[in-house]
Amino acid sequence: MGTETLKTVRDRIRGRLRDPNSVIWTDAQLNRYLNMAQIDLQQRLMWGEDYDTTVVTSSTASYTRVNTDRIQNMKYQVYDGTRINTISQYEIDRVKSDWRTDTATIPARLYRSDWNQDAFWPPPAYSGNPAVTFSQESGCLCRVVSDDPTDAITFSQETGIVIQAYSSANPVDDWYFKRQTYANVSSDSTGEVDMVVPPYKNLTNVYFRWPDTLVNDTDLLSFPDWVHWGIEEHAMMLAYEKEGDGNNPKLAQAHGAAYFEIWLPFIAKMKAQRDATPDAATIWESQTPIKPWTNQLSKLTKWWRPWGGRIW
Amino acid sequence: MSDTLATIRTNVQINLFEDVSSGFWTTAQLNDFINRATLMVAGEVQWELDQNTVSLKTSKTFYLWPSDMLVPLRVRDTTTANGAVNVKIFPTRIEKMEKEMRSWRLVGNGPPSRFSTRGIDYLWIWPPPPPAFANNNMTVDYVPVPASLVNDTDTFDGPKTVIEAVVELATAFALLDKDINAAAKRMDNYAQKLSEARADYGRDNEFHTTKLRPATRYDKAHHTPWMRRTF
Repeated sequence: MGTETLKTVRDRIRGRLRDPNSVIWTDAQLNRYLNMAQIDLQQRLMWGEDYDTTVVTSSTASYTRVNTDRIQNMKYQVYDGTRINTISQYEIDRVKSDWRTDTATIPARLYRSDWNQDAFWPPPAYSGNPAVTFSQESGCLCRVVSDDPTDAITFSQETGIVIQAYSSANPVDDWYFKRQTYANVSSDSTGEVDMVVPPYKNLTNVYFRWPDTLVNDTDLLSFPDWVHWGIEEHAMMLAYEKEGDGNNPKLAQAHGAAYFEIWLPFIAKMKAQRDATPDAATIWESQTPIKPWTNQLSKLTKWWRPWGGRIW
Repeated sequence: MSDTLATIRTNVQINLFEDVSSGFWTTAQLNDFINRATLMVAGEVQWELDQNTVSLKTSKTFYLWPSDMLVPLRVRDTTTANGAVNVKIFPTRIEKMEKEMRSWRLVGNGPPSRFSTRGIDYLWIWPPPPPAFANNNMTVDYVPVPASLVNDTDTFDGPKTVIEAVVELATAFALLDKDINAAAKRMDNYAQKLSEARADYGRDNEFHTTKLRPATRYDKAHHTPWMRRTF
């Protein structure tokens, strides 16, 4: 999560484009390029994550995902505290032809019944138990000190005060707020508790998420400040690729090279080391002198072609 | 060794054949390129070390990494509840946890023994700390993001070879706005300077493990890189 606003980064790009009065590139165009650059980075690195919890009802197999605009790819899903694996309907048909009439019991697998629907097989026999449901309260939760779900919570003016809410199955459970890995300032929801949902007998979805769309000048970019320079190079490449005034293929190539051959490998290398696992990081280690950069670094760009996929 | 921002910028302008007082690039732009270069060289060489503490809370598994962290090196348990001080806890991934123990999510509290990065900013430790660990500290050793150089008198502290690499890289970044061929030539210079800086000051870490064979004879492959060059 960065501290630079959209306006700060955009002004920096505008200075390098030498278009201070927005004659060639409008703010809307530069905003769009920055959004495209953020999306591209997330698509290639699969870095940003988030999670949510779906309340499960007994005998109901199918559930609609609620954050489809944010979900890039599902990372894994957890049911009742244990990871639940996914399966295709074709595989289940091969294993058990009458599976669609199975009675409710403990689910063994999860399959996708539609592009935005997860379904249990067999259907669950138990309902997830939200610890507390708020429907009408006098007074409200006014401030969450941080977006960390287990940090201190401040109440101000309450009729009745909730001291603690936890699941009797495991007393260490506590409040569960939707953790905001990204905080879009314009849509901050301070002072709102929808429902406390413990993980037991419910479905927790952990996913890679798209960055928040940058709209207002005060919006924050979704990546740390040191990543913004890479995003900036991508946005400048897109700016110089624009048809008409400002089109400059050579400078577009230069900034494209800066993004794909300098910044992207660097950011990926730092991400791999932040993930703190030797198997990913060793791909990047090198004790030998680096050869002329266009030859050496161009070997790395093959990892980033869409058909090459990601390496971890 | 240290150089001020003004000195580094002057060296970059000399490389660019720019007049010190005016030119194609503004002072703010050159400062920005220098800050980018310091970041990239810091990430590549990792000569600098910093520390910060994370205060544990009962049952809490998610914490924030230090805000100025670029790359973590070690996470150490500095409590004595484990019976030892400064015991390192080991990195892991969720996939590995799944392979080792399918029901790891249901494990109760205990002395933390594993950590991982979750998302971009979060440090995750496991198992959740018991009450005996509350308010005790984990120490995070990490490579920091270099402080931004803003004023002309701000200094960049680092070895001479690192500063030279910063100058070359900042020059290359500036040339990307004007001439890609000239930028490519500068990147060659940077690659050479970076190689020297790494050989002299690159940090050993667990990602550079070697498979040590039983020592049956003298083998200079076991030496650190700088030693190899002197033989």
